[in-house]
Amino acid sequence: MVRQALSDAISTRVVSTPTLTCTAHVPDAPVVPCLYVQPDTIDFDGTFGRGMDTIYFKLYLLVSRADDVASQNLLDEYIAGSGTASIKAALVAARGAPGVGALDGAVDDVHLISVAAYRWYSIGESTYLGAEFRVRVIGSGT
Amino acid sequence: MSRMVLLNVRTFAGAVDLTGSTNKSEINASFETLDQTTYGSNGWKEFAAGLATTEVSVAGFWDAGTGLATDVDPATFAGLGAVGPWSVAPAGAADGALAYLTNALQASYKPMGGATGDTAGFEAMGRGNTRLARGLVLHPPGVARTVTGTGTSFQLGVVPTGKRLYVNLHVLSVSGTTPSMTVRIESDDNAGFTTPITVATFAAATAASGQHLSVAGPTTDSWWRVGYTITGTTPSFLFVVTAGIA
Repeated sequence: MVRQALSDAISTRVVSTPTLTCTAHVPDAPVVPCLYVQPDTIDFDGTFGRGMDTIYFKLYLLVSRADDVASQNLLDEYIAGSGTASIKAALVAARGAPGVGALDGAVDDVHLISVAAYRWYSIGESTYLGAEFRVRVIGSGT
Repeated sequence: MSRMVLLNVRTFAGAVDLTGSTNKSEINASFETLDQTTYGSNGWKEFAAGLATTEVSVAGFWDAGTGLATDVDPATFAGLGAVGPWSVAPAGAADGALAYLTNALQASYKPMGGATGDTAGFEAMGRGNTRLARGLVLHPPGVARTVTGTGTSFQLGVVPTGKRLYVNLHVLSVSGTTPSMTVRIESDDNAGFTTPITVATFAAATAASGQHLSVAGPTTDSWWRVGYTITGTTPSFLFVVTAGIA
């Protein structure tokens, strides 16, 4: 499953303190800092013969808002373009070499396009600081 | 066949199945228009058909594959400047599906197009060396053949005087020890092929490859099929045959 492969690719590559918890599905009770994967749109038939589909995911990363400065500093590490905690760096590393599938062969390629919605998020009774990552995945439609 | 949404255009060039990498496949057949207007043309231009040309062009997403010679990028690059069979089936390549075919010079290949963030694209174009024929798929690509046999018979029609039967063979994959397959084209006057005649035979294929041949009319038989003789140890062939009369 692609969303699990995305979660695993980030989980195995991102190094942060505290440790980032990655889940393929939206959690009822997040254990922060956490990242979860949510499908956004699917474009079928990018090529003939079900050769390629494109799936856009939104990955949400939430951190505790216990301390306003510390939480923002931690989130900044995750949204940075490089560094041990960088989600971008993790997904670039997960692409694999040309001709080799990304996300350990689950898809053809993966691209973190942008980060947006750096704001407070409410889940249940709790509020977190977070950001939204927009990811594009291309792969066979079969 | 009614109007349709293009979802499964199957394009084969030489030994390569371009289907899963292409999202655009166009065939263009045209005649030169030679002006023959005279004072006696009653105020309207008159034209005659001159030389005809065929062009097959494809576009899609660049695919480096895994390094096999039959992967899209290496095979299309290697085919640049070479002449080989091109077949396009607009709605899948099942037995008997509509297909257009020609033998073409691969005149251009544009790999790796696009800007930052785009999915790498490619374009390729072939210029026909023979007529464009409209026919059908005589053998589908998805059925592996491991022993000698024959394909399904189809009533493509007789080949009239002055016309030819054009046939493309695309051998897409070969495995086994010293595998060899010889494909022949048979005709008969009945669907049961009780008295088959071999009208043409391709050269033996021992690796992925493409071949084109044509047979001049007239013929009296209207039923056509492929036959294939396979030898080797645990041989297996995936191949497509398209045929049309033009």
